[in-house]
This record gives sequence, C-alpha cells and structure tokens, in this order.
Amino acid sequence: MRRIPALLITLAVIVALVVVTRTRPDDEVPVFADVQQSWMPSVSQRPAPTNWFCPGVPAEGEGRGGEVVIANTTAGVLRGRYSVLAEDGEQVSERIIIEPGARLDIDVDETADSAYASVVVELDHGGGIVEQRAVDPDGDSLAGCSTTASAQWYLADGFTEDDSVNELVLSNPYDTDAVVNLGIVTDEGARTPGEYQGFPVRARSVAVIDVADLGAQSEPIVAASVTASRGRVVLGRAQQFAGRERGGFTMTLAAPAMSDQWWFTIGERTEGVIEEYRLFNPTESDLEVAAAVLGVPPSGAFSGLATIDVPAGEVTAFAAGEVEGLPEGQHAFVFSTVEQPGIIVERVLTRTGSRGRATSVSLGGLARPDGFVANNWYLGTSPLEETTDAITIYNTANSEAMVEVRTLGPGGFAIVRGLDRIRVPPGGVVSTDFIQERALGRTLLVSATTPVFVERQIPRDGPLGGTSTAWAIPLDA
Amino acid sequence: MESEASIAPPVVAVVVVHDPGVWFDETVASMAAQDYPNLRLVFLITGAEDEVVVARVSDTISRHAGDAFVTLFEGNPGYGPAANEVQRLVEGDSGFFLLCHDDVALDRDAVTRLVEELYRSNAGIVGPKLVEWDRPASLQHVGLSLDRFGEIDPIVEADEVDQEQHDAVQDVFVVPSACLLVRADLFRTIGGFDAAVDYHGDDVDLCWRAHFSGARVLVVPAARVRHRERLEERRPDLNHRVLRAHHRMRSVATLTGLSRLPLRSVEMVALTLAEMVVGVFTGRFPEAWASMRALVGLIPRTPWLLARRRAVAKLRTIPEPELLDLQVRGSSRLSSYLRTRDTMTYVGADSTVRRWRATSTAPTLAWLAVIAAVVIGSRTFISRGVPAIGEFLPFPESPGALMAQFRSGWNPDGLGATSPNPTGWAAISLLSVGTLFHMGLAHTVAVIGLVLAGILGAARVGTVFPSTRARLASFVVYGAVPLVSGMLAQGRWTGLVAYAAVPWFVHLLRRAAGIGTADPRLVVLDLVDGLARLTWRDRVRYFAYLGLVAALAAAFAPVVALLLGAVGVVLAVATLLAGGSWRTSLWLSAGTLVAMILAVGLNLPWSTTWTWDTLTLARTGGPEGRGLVDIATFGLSDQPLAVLAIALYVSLLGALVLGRAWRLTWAVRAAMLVVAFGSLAVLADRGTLSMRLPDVSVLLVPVALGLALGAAAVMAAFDLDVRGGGFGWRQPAGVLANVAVVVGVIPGLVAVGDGAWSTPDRSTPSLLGSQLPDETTDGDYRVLFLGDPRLLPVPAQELTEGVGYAVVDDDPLDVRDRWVAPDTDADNRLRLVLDLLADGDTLRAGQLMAPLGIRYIVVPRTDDSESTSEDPLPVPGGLLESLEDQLDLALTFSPPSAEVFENRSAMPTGAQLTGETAEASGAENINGLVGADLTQAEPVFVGADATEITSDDLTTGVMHLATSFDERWELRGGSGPTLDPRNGFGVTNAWDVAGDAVGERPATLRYATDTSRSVLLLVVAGLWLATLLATSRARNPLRRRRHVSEDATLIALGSDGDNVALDELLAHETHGGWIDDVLDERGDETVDQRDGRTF
Repeated sequence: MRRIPALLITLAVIVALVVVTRTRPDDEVPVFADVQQSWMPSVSQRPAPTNWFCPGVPAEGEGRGGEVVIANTTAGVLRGRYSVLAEDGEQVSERIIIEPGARLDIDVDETADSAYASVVVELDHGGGIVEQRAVDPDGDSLAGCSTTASAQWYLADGFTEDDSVNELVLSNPYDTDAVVNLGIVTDEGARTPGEYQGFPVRARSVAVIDVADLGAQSEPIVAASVTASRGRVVLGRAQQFAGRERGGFTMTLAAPAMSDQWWFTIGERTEGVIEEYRLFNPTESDLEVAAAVLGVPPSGAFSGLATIDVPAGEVTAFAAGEVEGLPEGQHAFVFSTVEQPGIIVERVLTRTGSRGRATSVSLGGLARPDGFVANNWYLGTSPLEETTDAITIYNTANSEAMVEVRTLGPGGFAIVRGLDRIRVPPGGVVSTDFIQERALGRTLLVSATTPVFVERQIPRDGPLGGTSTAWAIPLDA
Repeated sequence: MESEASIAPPVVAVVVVHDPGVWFDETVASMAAQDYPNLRLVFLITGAEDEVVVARVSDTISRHAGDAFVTLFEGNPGYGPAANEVQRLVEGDSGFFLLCHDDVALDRDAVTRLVEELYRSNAGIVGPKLVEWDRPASLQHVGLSLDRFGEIDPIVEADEVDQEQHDAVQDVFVVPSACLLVRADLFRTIGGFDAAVDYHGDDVDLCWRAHFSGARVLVVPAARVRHRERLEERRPDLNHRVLRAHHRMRSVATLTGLSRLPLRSVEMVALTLAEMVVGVFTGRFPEAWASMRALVGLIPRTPWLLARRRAVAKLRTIPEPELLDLQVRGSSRLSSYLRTRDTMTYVGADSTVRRWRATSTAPTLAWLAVIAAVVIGSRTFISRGVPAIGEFLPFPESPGALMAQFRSGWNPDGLGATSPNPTGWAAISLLSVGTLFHMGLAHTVAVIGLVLAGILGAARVGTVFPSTRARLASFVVYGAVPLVSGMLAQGRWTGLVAYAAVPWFVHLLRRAAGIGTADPRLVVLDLVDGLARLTWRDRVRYFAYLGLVAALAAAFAPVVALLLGAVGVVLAVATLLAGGSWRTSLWLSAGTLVAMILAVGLNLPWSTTWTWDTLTLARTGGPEGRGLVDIATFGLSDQPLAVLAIALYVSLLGALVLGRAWRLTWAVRAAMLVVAFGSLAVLADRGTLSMRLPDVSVLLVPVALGLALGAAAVMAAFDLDVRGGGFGWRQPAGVLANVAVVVGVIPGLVAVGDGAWSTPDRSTPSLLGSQLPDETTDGDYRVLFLGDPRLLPVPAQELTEGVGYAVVDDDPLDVRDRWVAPDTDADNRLRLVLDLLADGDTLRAGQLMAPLGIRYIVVPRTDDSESTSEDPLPVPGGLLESLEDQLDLALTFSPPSAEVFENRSAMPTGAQLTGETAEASGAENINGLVGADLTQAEPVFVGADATEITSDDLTTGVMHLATSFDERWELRGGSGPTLDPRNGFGVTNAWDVAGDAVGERPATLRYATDTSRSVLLLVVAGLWLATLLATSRARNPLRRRRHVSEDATLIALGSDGDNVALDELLAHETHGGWIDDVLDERGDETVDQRDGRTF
C-alpha cells in the first residue's frame, strides 16, 4: 500500500504540469526603458537633463542667418552646453549658464560658415525652452527644436515648382556617423534615389540635400522620408518659394513619427488666404482620413467633416475650401485615422498681402500618446512688434477655458494685463492680438484652465511681410 | 615391530607463551591431545619476572601436558627471537619443529596431517588452515601471498566462510607464524627467524629465506588450527602499523636480489608517495604514513642492511627470477582493494553479510563504453581545448597568480571590492598541480572531468542495488540523458558542477543515514531499506564526506550547495512517503544540515558574501518558453531525438508500479526528485515564479538522477519482483519499462557524434577579443555588458526583470570573471547611471560612467546558443534607443552578434588628472558631472594589480584609480611619502599629488591586504584539513598515547618493543634444561630434569 501515495503524487503532478503547460505563456520582451512615443517638442519639468536638437538655420549668404533662443523658465540656474554643427563638423561647443528667468540668444551664423548649421543644446535639467529663428532675405521662419533625434523622419510637404528651392537639412548630433536612406514621393509616385541610399551623415555635422538633386524638380508635391540604417539624425527642411502659388522662406522641423491625429488651430477662410493640407501616407496600406473642422458649429450644409482617401505611399493635398459650407472666419482642423501607425499632415498657409505672397508651412500638433493635452504652453520667442492674432487657442474641452498670458522676467512669470482673462468657449477657437508692450519680445507662458492647443504667428521681416506660424511649446505634465 | 612413535619422525612443538588468557587452556589441551605419536612439547614462557603469571601458565601446562618442557624468559623478546631458542634447546636436524603462538588450538590430527604432507610434497615449511578462534566456520588464513614490495595478500577474504573452497594443498609464499611446521635442518640452515623482526613480518622473512634455499612452502588445509590473532589487543603499547611497515621494508631491502634492488627501490618510493595521496581519500593515510616513515627509516640503517644482505646472500640456491615467479605480480594492496570490490556487504532485516558479488564483464564493458562516449563526444574539446562559451571561460594562465589573487583581500571583479575571494580560485590553482600547471589542460579536465565524476557518482549511488543490471542502468542513464550534451553545448559549468556533485551527495547521504545495499535474498520481505548499523565514527566520516562534497561544489558554484540541501530535504520527505523510518529520515536531514554548515564553513570567508542574488541568476523578462516537453527531455539545446528521453519517465512509473520492498523505496525517492525539481524547472520556465532561481540546468540535475535511479529501480524490480513470477500484467509492464530505459538512452548516444557537443564556432568572448582594443596606449579600461542576462558572457547583476549588466576589465575574459564581487558605492553609482539612462534622465551617460573606467558598452544580441540569428532573443525594449540617445556614446562597427558602443568621454582606469578634470574629481556626487571637463586625463599605472606593486611617473594633480574607494590602496609618491587617499568623483580612489610628493623616483601603487585575512585563510585551511582527516579512518594518535600512559600495566608487559638480547634473557633462565638429543634419540628418556621439577 505504501506505493499508492507516491504513485498518486507523481501522477497528479504530471497531469497538473501537462494541464498547466497546455497554454503557452505570452512572450514578454524585457523592458530597459519605457521609450515614449513621439510627441511634439515639449518642456519637461523633470530635474533630468534634456536635449534640444534644432533643425538648422542658414549660416552663410547675404541676409541669411539665424539664432537659437534658450530660455530658463525655472527659478534656478540652468546649466548646459550648446554645440553648433555645420557641414564641416562641430564648430563650437560651449558651456552655458542661464540665470532664472533669463534668455540666451545664440547667433548661429556668427559661429559657423556653412549653408546651414544646426544647434544642439544640452541642459542639465528640465525647464528650458529652445527654439530657433531662421533668417532669410525672403523672411524669417520660426521653428521649434526637437527634444529627440530619430531614425525616422517624414515631411509631407515639398514644393519645387517655379524654381522653388527645397532643401533637406540632416543633422547628426552624435559621435557616430549615421547612415540614412532617402525616399521621396511626388505625383508620379515614390522613388528611392540610388545615390541617397546609404547616405552618410558624419558625426557631429550637418548634411544638406537639395530635393531637386533627388530628381524632383518642378514638382508641386514632394514628400520625403528619411530612414537611418545606422545612428539617428534630426531632419529639417528649408523651402524658398519662388512661384506664383507660394512665396517666402520657411524652415521647419520634420515629423519623427506618424500619428493617427494631427491638430491645427490656425485656419482661416478669408479672401487672400489659401489654406491647404498635405497628407502623406508612408505606409503600405491605403488610408481613410477624417478631416474635422473645429471651432465652427455645424449648421445647414456645413457638416464640419470631410473624408479624405490617402493611397499607400502617396501624398494627398486637401484644401480647406473643399469642405462644403465652411463659413468665413477662423477655424481649427483635426485630421484623424483609425489605422495605425497613422499619417503625416502638414499645413501650407499662404497669405497674400500688400507686399506679396507669404507661405508658412507647419506640421500639425499632437496630443501626447496617452491623450494628454497641455494646459500650459510656452513661447520662447514672442513677436517683437504689435501683432494681430499673435496666438490662436483651441479649447479641446467641453467647458469654457479661461486663459492668461504671463511674461517671464527675473522674478518669474508676471501677468500681462489685457491678456489675463481670455475666454475660449468649449471647442472654440480664439485668436488674441499682442499689443501690450510687456508681451513683446519676451518669453511667455500661456496658461489655460482646460487643455488647449496654442499656435502663434510672428510677423516676418523681409520684403514679403506676412507671418510665420509655429507651435507654442507645451509643458509636459 | 617398531612402535608407532619410533616410526614417526620426531616433532618438537615450540609454543611461545606470553601472559596468555583463559584460552590458553585450550591451546595446551589441543597440543597435548595431538594424535601424532612422536611429539614433544616445549613451552617458552616470556615475562618470567611476573611470578604470578608464570605460576598460572605453569599450572595450566602441568594440568594438560605434564611431560612438556618449560623454559622461562625475562622480558618479552618477541615471538621470532624466542622461537629461535629451539635451535639451541634442541639438537639434531632429522626432525621437525612445530612453531606455535600461544593462542592457537590445533585439531587433534593437525600435526599428523602437516607431517604427512611435508613428507609427501618434500616441502620445507608447511602450515595449517587457520580459522577464527570463536567462529571456526570462518577462514582466517590458508597461507599468504606476497608481492614484490613485501605486502601480504591474504588469500581469503575477511569473514570468508569455510566451504572447503580452499581445501587443496598448495604452494604459497608465506605460511603464518601462528603455527607452522619446519624441517629442523632447514630452520637451522636459514638461521631461524630474523631476530630483528619482531611481532610482525617474522613469518614473511622466514619463508622468503626458505624459498632462497629452494625449499617449498605449502599450506595444508587438511590440518586445521583455530587462531585468535589478537596481537594488537594484547600489545596495545606497540605501534603495530609502524612495525608492520618497518619490517616489510626491511625484508624487501635485505631479501630482494641485487639486480632488482634499484628498480624496486624506485618503485617503493613511487608506491609510497601514491599511497600517501590515495590514503588521504581512502582513510588509509595512517598506513601510508607508516610506510613513509619506514621508507625513510631505512636510510640510516643502510650499513646494517648491507651486512644482512651479505649474510642472507649465502643462502641463495635458486635464481632471483624463479623466486619472483612465486610472488604476486603488481601490488597486493591494489589487488586486495580490487578484490574487496568484488564482494559486497548486504543488509538484511536484522543481519549484515558479506558475499561475493555476481561477477560479470558487463560493468567493465559499460564503463569502457561510457568513457569512450564521453571522450569521443569531447574529442574537439580535448584536441583544441574547451571553447570559451557560456560559463566555460578559460582558466588564467598562471596558477600562481591566481593563488596570489585568492590570498589578496581585493576582488578585482566588476568595479573591484575589498572582499574575500572565491574559494574556487584556490581550488583551480590547486587543481593545476595535477596537470603540471598546464591551465588549458586543467580547464579541459575540469569540464570533462565533471561529467565523468557525475557518472561515477551515479555508479556509486547505483551500488545500493545488488543487481548488476540495475547498477549499470544507474550510471548509463545518468550519463546518457540529454542534459549532459545540453550543458556542454551551452557552456553551463554551474550545471556541470551540480551534475558531478548531486549523485555523490546522494550516495554519501544514504551511507551517512545507514542505508546500505539490501540483501537480494530477502525478496519475500517488504524490507523498506537495508539499514546498516553505523558506528559514530563512521557516521562522522560520512558527514565529513558530505561536507566536503558540498563545500567543493560550492567553491565553484555556491548555488549547488543550496541544490544539495534541497535534494537532501526531498530525499528525507520521500523516505517518509515511502514508509521508511523517521529515524532514517532524520539522519538524512541531519546529514544535509551538516553538509550545508560545512559548505559554508569551509568556504569562509568567501561565504560571508553569499546572498540569494549572488547565488542565483538574474531573472529573464517573462517566460523562457521552452515548454514542458523540452524541460522533460532536458532540451537545453536542439539535440536530435532528445524527445526519446521521455521514455525514461515510463521506466520511472514502471518502477513505482512494479517495485517492492527497497526497490519501491528507491523508486519513490527517484520519483520525488523528478517531481519536485521537475515542477520547479517547469514553473521557472513559464515565469510563474517571480523570484530569482538557479539556472534550469541546475534544477534539472536532480531530475536526471531521479530518472537514473528510477531506471535502476525498475531493473532491480524486474530481476527480483517480476522475473520468475507467474505470468500476468507485471511481465509485459516490466518488459515495457526495461525497453523504455533502452530507448531513453538513445539521445545520449546520438549526441556523441558531433565531437564538440554542438558548441557554437565562435563565442562572445572571442568576438569581443577581436573587437575591443588590447593596446595599452589609452590605458586600462572596463567593458559594461548590458542586456538579456542569458546572453552576457559573465554572471549578470539584475537591473530590472530581464535586464542584466556586468562589468569586466580589459583583460581577456577568464574564469575569475564568473564570480561577482560584492556591491560597493561604485556599483551603486553605476546602477544610478543606468537608472538615469533607462529613465531618459541623461544624455551623457558616457560622461557619468567615465570615472568608473567604462570605455565600452556591449549589448549582446546572439550567442549562437541561447540566441541564434535564426531565433534571436529580443534586445530589452528601449535599451538600444536609450544608448543611441546618448551624445557621448558612439555606436561602433559591431559584429552581428552584439552592438558595441564606445564611450567617447571615457577615462582610463588609472589616470593622472590635471586641470579642470582634477577639480572635477572632488565632486561628491553625480551632480555637475555632465558638465565637467573630463578630457584632461592621462593613463598611468597601466596593468596595476592588487597582488603586486606597480610604479609609474606622476605629476602634480590627482591620481585617479577607477575602483571602488578603499583606503587599503596605497599610493606612495616619488619623494617617498604615502599620500592620503580620498574619494574620487564620490566613489573611486583619488590622491591629491602635490608638488612635494613628486620625486625623482616613480610613484608606487599597491594594495595592502589586511593581515587578519591571512590568518583567517590559515584557519579555514585548517578546517579543510580537519574535515579531510575526519573522512579518513585515522585515529587520534593523542588518544592512543593517552590511553597507554593511563594504563601502566600494559606497558609493563614487554620491553617497549625493542629486541631483548637472548643471551641476556637466557642468563635468567630458570629451567636451564636441555633437550639436546631429543630428535636424535627419538624418545623422552633423555630429557634432563636438572631442577627436579616435573613437567
């Protein structure tokens, strides 16, 4: 009888193991770091070092140049280092100390002698704001700097008609050479120019590629994608428009990732304004994208919604005017798709003024992947002169937002009278003029009681006038 | 008609008497009762100064043999010298001397039989069959064989029952002096016994010289004599071991032919040395030590020995080769040892018997096959060395340096720490002695030897089964399970250590618990275990053995000690489950506990650093995903036909179903090992257990042993419980279970073919060796491995679940890197940096790691073993991205198997800091380090080692040593003073080198080991020695001396072992009588009775 217990235990364990192991446990990939999905450049509050990679500014040529602005929004001293990268490599690398509430302007073209130069700013903790202003005889262009480098970059817009210049500025901020593959998409389809496959971008340097050299001359649509097979880079795009449809100069940061939603707060149906969106689908699947007009309640024939088909690997242009019944005035847009990983959407806003046609190209804004939309947005650079519709705020909440604008000084942020009680209705869009002196040429903080998107327009210097649009920089929660 | 007495040749029986016991009555009576008609008795009584004894003995003699002659000696000259007196006391050569001890009892016809055979065979000396005094059915001696080294080979085994198996008259080399009949003329010719040989070896010397003269020496079993043979009890004052060795050596030195003597001398030295070594492990060290003493003792006696040689040379009448033919070839001691292995002690319900084992060539053939399979399977390992895969990291080139590092108080692993170094370093260093300090060979031996040791251990466990087939099954199955090839393929040295240790542990544990080999003749009884009674001394010896096995295993892989503990607990529980006694279970538990304690104690002080984290593996991220079948078939690697190993589980179940009595008990123990450790392995594989666990190969070792024991049990059950029974379900089930065993070993046979156990062609260490620079121009550096713990070439510290890291220096990886130094502040700093990296809180991780000397960061992708290019393990999420994010880490051109990042901010391990870098080293913490200028660092003290003094030129600034801070690192400036150390960068060593410290001479750097460590190591070495002694059968010499000194009467018995001059003794002869003409007269009338006493 003494065999029975042992036999039962043995059989029971065998059976139990067989039963337990009938289902294979899910494979789990161990995680070293929770890599955040791409978001738009943001200001971190963490006491951790942050990098800012600026897409590049012109650094040689008459009337060309640029500067990088670093603002310290914290109550403590901000230490760090900036490096200027040019086509010949690193030009300068200096340590910096920024006092509380102070701002540092780096004149890039003074330290670099290169068609384009980019700046890398390393800050020893969060609370810094870095953005760049590119200067061209055809006008200034304000752009944010990225807080991450990436192995993937996308540009939905591109325009080389009428001898317009479209240049890709690839910055490699790392100590390792990067190797990238370029692809472009025109009306004739996607191409991967052979000479730009395995294209090297030397460590700590900038490489400039004229899109025309990729075989995309006189193209009304030239989307581009950059994939690094080794290392990571930062991609910027300089466009100098010379045609009848577009005018002026823009320097913008590319998108490091696709997204299923893209937000735009500045939209206007007015005489002399051409509002167009470029939707780039780099995936291998056709996409259906919903374009929703925000800030204007549906009424009558205006449904506020349009559907756009974006075939795989193609770019679709969508004019706001195509939305049936879209009323005159301001509006916002959101483009969304249910398909992952999504698309790339850029807005091309061309205003025709008394001095000519000025085009501004902007990538859409993003909610953070977890759905977070900031209440607080920084403007590292505000208009130097009185500006109409200097900031445009879209209230994403179903309740009214109370917005105030504060200016940063040595004593911290101070309220700007006249800009301290801006009401934004639920789902509404409101633009505010900057006429207060305390709001001009300062680092500003736009605080709302609800989650909002904030875009700004800054008057351009130059013969064409007009404004340059750029996103304010959200504060990461 | 002549009387019978007048026809029979005269025999004078000489009995040397020394304070006999009550048995002497029987001795005298047996002498007096002899049926031989012409026998005279002479009693030579020693110790005549003790009148009481003399009176008692005389009384006994007179009661039984009133006509006997008695002669008294003062003191105790020993048997031989006393017996030699017969030459003086008896005149004439045409008779025989019957020389006897005082503790023999002759059968009535013994003398008659001896004389008859001596005549019949024309022999010179004849001896009877000696049987035990109290147990006449047990043989004691039927003559003795002798090898060329003077070692006696007792022809019969201890306790061998007299079944007339030796009852043929035969030539032997020696007959014991207890009772022998010798021709009187021969005895006189060869000079009787050698007077210098007392108590032991007198018969050997006598018979050897008899052979010289051409006389035959025979044993006559028809003549039977009972013999007490308890000299050691009667003379506890003598060192019998030494006497035996001394006289043995003396006989060889004086009686070996001149032409053979040089070679024999060399052989004696070699044999004695080998005996010393083997004696340590077999409990025969005292004998070996006695041999050594005797050997050395011959040297000062050379003149005397030469004189003796000249004297005995005259006796030689036959050539030396003829004499050699009479001696046993080889070593009797070895023959005796091997012969004892042919017998076995079987334990019954209430008896213990020793019987011949069933003889078979099968075990020999099986062993040859197993060894051939291991050698053939490892042929590439043997010819090219063991590849540096997994844990098979090569041994360092210099065993001396390894030992020096062991003795040092500094552990250089990782970022370095003042810490006890692993006992394994000393063990490896000592192991190299066996390979003549050839470390490559030692490495190969250490790997392949572990396999063979494991199989041998399984064979020893198998001895618990009395069936040859069962014993075969135990080690063949254990050697053939796919676990072996899997561990060799993936370089799992820890697993191999467990593989070697577990069977030995189980074997010794069952011996310690008294579980012996059950008597196979007790088939009908439900004997749960064959339980033998152990003495406390035996118990202690086995406990010491257990401790040694556990400690040795732990010296190389501490986790194995834990495993052994778990195995012991499972066996204890299984014993109760099988219906065994609680006492057995307790002994199993006690043995396990003692082994664990000794494992820790013998590995002191290193064992103080053991923690669960250092003993176990870093966790993998989620399940390993092998699945039940792979685990059950030991599928560590893709081995063909491994699935057939499933059949072994069938045999295990068969053992549970078919076994009875102790077969069932062992089947239950085997099943519990399989169930307990198999379940653990499966749950660990599925990631069900969140705790850190040993490697799966370690967990599977008890499973393998369980299956081996199961196979053995089913074989034994088939032999004893199934075969021969009435036909029923048991027969086919038994056949099926037997077939399952055969099927189960097929994977092991298949694995042999590869020759290299399917190890990958290239290993991570070799790839890195070609990838990372070895020039010293940039100074020393460290490499940080980061990634899946399974792919790191050295044991990983766990960072997060599934992510491990390890730091090594720029020397080629070797076995020292397998042991992790305890955590220090420097380790905490590194973890902080890695946390910052993981959290995205730094972009200059290289800068933060620079003070730690880390120049390269390696993220392994594949190792062609756990992770192949076809089926790679994923790189931990976000790892490469985080590293790529760092501005000062440059991805270099890496092999496909790994991503290698170079730290562009790296500082040399030993660096002279100047300017801002020197200032930065004063920082207490990590803050501000990112912005610091670390470029002003020049390499110094390249190759600095804690075991030696290194010198280099220094300038004013800061000397930085990228090891965890420790004041025992001493920097002496060129001008002489020892500089005060301080924390560098908060965690490392730094010295401010002022101008006045820079002299013309180079500065020196050294590590000053604490003297207390040396003392502690000596203590632990003493512990090892004590444990080794405890495993031997050596007795405490102090105890013997104490005993003698306390018992004065024992000493008074004799003359302290020295020979007493016979002339002197005879001067005190009280009898003074002569029987000169006894032999010639053939009568008793001539006996002189001068003192008027009647005997």
